[in-house]
Amino acid sequence: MWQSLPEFGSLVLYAVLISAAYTFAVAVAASRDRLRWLRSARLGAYATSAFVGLAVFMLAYAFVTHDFRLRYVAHYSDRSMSLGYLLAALWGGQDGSLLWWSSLLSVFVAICVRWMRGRYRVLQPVVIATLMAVEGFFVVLMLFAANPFAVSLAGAPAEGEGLNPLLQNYWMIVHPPALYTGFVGCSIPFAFAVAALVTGRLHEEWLLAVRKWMLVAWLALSIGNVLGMVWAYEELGWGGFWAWDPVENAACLPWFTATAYLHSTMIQERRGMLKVWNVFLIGLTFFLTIFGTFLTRSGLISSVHSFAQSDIGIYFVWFMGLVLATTTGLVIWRLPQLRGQGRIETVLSREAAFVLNNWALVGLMFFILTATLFPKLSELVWRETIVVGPPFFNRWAAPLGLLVFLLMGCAPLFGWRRTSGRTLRKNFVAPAIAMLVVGILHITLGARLGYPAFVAKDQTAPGILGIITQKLATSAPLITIVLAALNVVVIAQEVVLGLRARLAASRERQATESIPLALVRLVGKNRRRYGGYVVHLGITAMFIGFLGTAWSLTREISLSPGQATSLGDFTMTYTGPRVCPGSPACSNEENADTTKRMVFADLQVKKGSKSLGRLSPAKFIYNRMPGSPTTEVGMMRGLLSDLYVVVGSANPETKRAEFQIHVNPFVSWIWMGVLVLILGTAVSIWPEVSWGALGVWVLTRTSLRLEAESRVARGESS
Amino acid sequence: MNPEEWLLKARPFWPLLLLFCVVLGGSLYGVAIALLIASGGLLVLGLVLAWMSLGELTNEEPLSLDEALELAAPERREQEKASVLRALKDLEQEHRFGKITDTEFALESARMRQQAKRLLATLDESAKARKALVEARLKRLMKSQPVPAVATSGDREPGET
Repeated sequence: MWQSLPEFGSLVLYAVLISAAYTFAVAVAASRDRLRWLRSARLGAYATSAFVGLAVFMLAYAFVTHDFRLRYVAHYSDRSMSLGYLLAALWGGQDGSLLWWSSLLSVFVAICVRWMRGRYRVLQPVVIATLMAVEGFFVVLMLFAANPFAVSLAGAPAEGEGLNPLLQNYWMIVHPPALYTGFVGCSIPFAFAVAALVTGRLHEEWLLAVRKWMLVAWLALSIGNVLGMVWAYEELGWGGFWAWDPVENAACLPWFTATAYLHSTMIQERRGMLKVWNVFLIGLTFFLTIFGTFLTRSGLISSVHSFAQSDIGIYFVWFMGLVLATTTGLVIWRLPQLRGQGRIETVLSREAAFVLNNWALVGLMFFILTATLFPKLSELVWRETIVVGPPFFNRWAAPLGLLVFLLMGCAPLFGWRRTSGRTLRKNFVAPAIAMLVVGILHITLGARLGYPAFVAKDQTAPGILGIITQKLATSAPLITIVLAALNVVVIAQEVVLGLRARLAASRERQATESIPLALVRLVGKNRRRYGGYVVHLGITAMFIGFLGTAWSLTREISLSPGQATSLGDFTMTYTGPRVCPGSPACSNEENADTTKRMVFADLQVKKGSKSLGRLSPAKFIYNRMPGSPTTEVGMMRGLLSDLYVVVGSANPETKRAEFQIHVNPFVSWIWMGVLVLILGTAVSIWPEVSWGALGVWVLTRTSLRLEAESRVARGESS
Repeated sequence: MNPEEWLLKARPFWPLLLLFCVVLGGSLYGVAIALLIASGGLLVLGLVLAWMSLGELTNEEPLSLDEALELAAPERREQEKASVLRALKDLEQEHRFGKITDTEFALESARMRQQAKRLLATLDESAKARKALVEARLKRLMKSQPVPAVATSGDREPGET
């Protein structure tokens, strides 16, 4: 055992703090066009990243060697855990997750500094200084409030406590890193926004710099949130994937503002408008990432996801205050330069559609934020305990979500600045016909196929508003399907228009181009536009997945061995309980696992006359945590519906078991949708313009090189 | 090339070397040793980088060409030009797709082309001095190092084309 590991680990954290502070100071000094100092700041940023990486590897080493002298290692691991879970324990608790955040940030810092080589010379020092300030905050937090290298006061226990069984799921190995990558990724656009405000270089330069970083962060946020849904769906065992839990809500808040920014930035690039709004959105997105971490870690709000709670909240409050004050102060200072150059001339324009979409997205974000915090606020101010549950969220979030879905479909049909009535009519013909046909088909055939257009909902609020929300909720399936048709047809129409234009241009040049080749070239030449449309397709698939909850079926039933039950198209026959290890019916792998007792309740499943195999929902009782058994879902996935079975209890004497059975339509569409979204973002991120290809830039570099070479040839010194 | 220069040239391969050592150590002695090797590598890397950073602060020498190029950046007008040209491309596409009328396209396109022309003229103006410098240097280079005579077929080695 490495005797001095705890002290060395803490020492490394101090080294990170010193390195970050030094780099911050040098970067600030370099902003006065001191080029040597800028080089020094760049190297300092790399060094800081290396030290953070060192700290992470040290902690990983402590986990792998079961060094239970470290309080964090003893609390979140034990000797029975596999290597994958030992490494996942790095971010399983509070102290480690702060180090993990810091390490992801250091990776972003290193990549960003490398990427800035030969670009953004004026912005670079402030970008580096801002990133170092963020890095410094997390190190201060670790050193003074949540040190992962702190030792147990009572000495090293012989065995660790082990990771929470709920976290021992493979999705949990990838979900937090993906979500944190999204959170941390938002620091780079924030740093560029601060740099643009500080230096006064508020033209398109910083927007272009930020675009791809924001897309990367947005993609990671999307993946992280969806992986969280998969984990909740598989592990929590309540039948759904999104419960409007405070921590889930906090994780999705920055996604809304980032999405809004990705659209509004196009207006600034194109029309020179919304400069303050774009800075506001970037600042807000970064703020919300910190706020999300604060909510998860401070213990302010109780949640199934708040695995770690402590008193570090006050540090976050100070940091959020600093972020808010700095951004607001800088925006006020630069307000004269941030005035827009144009205005929205008519509502029949793309910029107007984008602005409406921004309002809907930001409105949705504020609604979720307010509803999430309202119980706490009510407790603090009015001393009343109020519960804001999923029905309330669904009632208001669904109409706002559908408004965003509608605008997502309509916006591409408008041109920039203004769209004439004739053009608009022409563009809307095909989507309108598609919406009408799909709507009629859904109303006439939907109920027969098991997907009715209207699903009766109770009025949950009094007055006219209550009636409106009830009507909307009842007709949500029809509206969603019709809007999905709108989105798909609009995208198809855009592609067809593009193809036609490209083929016509080829004919004019008397060149022949096949349709597949023309399509590839069309997308290749306009990656941002068509990548965006592919993302829209992914979102459409996800909306259909969300809609599936309206048609889900649920049954709670108690069965004895040999008894059968049916739900939807599925018939299930209960064959009896099985306790592993110990039962001869258990597999070798199940018998070899001595860390827990597994109680399975096996069901034979049929769809019509076709046998689909065995489902084994279970309860796992971990030896280390016998008081908190986990629910293991038995699931059969399908393109049209998932069969999802949870066992409540199984009596070992009577062998009778309580089941909760769900048939969840279209859930797979959410997971497929995110794959399409990843593909679209990848297309969009692919570089379009390389600096090396720009004429004057090439000339400048060539002239400098020629001059240097001729000096060398003449024997002059530099 | 002296060892220091050689080490500097091989700089991009340092991470690969570290990765190789980590994989080798891991496969021979287990994950714990791989993590220790990675930690050692990062410690050395961090210290070297910190030392180099401090060295830059005290370095009074003017920047070398490569160092200057590392920090150089395209000027603002160059980026504006790229932005205007991109917007013009979008506009033409929207016109082809029928999103905007001919009149709107003509108006907007003329405005953007005017802006692009103005930017190009400014860029050409600022590049003029550098262009002249390059031409003068080339002339001087060609005078001092005359272009070698083109080899005749009789001078070729067997098999040379």
